[in-house]
Amino acid sequence: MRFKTSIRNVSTFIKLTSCLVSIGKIAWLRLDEEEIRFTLMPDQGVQVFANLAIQTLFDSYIITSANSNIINLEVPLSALHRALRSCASASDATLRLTKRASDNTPILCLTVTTTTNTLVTQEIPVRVLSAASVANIKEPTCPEPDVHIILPALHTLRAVVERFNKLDASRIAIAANMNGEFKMRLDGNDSVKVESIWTGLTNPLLDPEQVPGGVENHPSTTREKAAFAWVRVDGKEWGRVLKVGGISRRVVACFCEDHALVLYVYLTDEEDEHSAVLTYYLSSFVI
Amino acid sequence: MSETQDQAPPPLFTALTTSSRQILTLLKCIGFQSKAQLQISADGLRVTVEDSHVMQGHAFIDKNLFNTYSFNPLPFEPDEDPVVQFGISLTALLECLQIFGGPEAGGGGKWRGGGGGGGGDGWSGGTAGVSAFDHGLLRIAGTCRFLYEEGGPLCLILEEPPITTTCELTTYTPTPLPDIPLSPTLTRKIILKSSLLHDAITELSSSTSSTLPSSSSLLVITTSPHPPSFTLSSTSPLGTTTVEFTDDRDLLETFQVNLRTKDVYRFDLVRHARGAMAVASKVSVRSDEAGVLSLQFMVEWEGRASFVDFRFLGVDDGEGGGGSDGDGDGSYGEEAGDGDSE
Repeated sequence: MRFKTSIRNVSTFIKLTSCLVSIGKIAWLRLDEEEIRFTLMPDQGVQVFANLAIQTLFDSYIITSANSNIINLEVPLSALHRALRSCASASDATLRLTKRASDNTPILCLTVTTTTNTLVTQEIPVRVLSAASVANIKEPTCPEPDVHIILPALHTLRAVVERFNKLDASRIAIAANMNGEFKMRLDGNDSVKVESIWTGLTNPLLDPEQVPGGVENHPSTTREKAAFAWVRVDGKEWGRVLKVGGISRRVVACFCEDHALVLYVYLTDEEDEHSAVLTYYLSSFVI
Repeated sequence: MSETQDQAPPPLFTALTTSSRQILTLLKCIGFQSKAQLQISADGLRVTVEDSHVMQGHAFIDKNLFNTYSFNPLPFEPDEDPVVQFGISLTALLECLQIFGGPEAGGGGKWRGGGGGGGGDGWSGGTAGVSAFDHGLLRIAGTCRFLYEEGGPLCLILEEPPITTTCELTTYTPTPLPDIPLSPTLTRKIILKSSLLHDAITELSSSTSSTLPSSSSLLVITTSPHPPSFTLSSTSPLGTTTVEFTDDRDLLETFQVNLRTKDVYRFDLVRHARGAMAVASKVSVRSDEAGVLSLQFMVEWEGRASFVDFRFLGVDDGEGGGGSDGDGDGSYGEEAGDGDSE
């Protein structure tokens, strides 16, 4: 089993880990010859699946293993994030999987050459997971979304969510329709009810090749354009999810009414060669 | 703007402002309490909070802070100025006024609605181009509309395209809150830069302690026609700190004192006015023979003055002066915003 790479894009990697660390403590990192995949499935709350082309983060990437050159690791996110942060200004950084000499613990070893040519090495203890132990981890299956919409700039959304949370950090109802409208509502508070609505947003077109039943039969097409699909989420958690605005180029929100909100967070531009997408699953609370 | 479009009778109260930041600043001055009484009249909004029945804070939001202002009360007693009053959560009102979104990020125009699909579920190219007239780039100021119908919630409609936020603030049965009266017979009237008072109170705070009961610290105000003219001292079980002002026109713009007078107030309550001291340009410090203290702050924007007034009943320190014969009957009427600190 061998994994060694140089980090091509430290700042993107740091932004990624900072988003992940606000959602959970531990991630499953799956590395193979094509992709880097981070999976966060805390016992409750938001689940995150990040699929990144290798070139998004890495360069000179070498991976070999007895399991078809796939390596599965359990990584403590805050340790990884801290280590990466310290090499933000590095001229060169490499990451490799090795064993600590003293006790044979597997570690991710981050070696950084600073601008003053000093070599700094940081060890992130990890757990190597067997193929069997991760075989059952899958992205949740959701019904076809009722509404899909491109969210407004996440930092403005987050600014509003923070105000909502100051009023009452409990549940926020979120809705969108196929008429380019998105709204958030805070109720259940005795002294104030608040609703913010964004208009003029884009409902992206579905790609016919990805809709087996035909676009014309898709729930989002058959639905009345102005009808809002609602989900209810935890306000604090929603605020943490929106931190991803710091790195996202574009976010598509899919509303499965009363069931779940799925966010596809694109870290790269459409025309970019290498794609990087984070998928966030938020289950809706029952009213 | 469009109140008259409908044929329905006009709402009891509706007003539109692009100065919600100024309104927010005024209300923050009295933001030390979570509940407030709000009074709507033809002249503007008057928001009142109180603490321990011995101090009150009034923020007066003059109708000139609104672009349109329409108050349509039902006919009242002929010789009474019509007012509408209700209780409200001041905390919620302050938060609502801050809901306006942050600045739009530049470069958002790159986010067209297309594929890029690593996460499955591809979207074929849409068109979410952001136009050159993006409001974020032009920084068009948001508007805030107030709307109130008898017995309903107080609605705030904040518009900052493309976001519209509607806040419904529950209104409560008004709590009668007679104004602490300030007699026209003043024992002192001093006008000074508000920042000087702010610095003095900050200095005096250093001798008070957070580990002692806050009510155990007192503020002693002494004024005299002879130097030292105007003295502020804080006394607590930890000791005494004193700040003295000399009667110098550079320091005290107005100084009207005929007799040496000493009054005592609860320091923690006076500290409630620190927010006002920080944002106001001038403050008028007045007291009457009953020991009532008024701190009237003038907050200015672009030549328009707004007023925040604090009233305090004195603490009886056993030396006479500073009586606390409380229970004002309000018969002196309100003075907040009467502009007499000019």
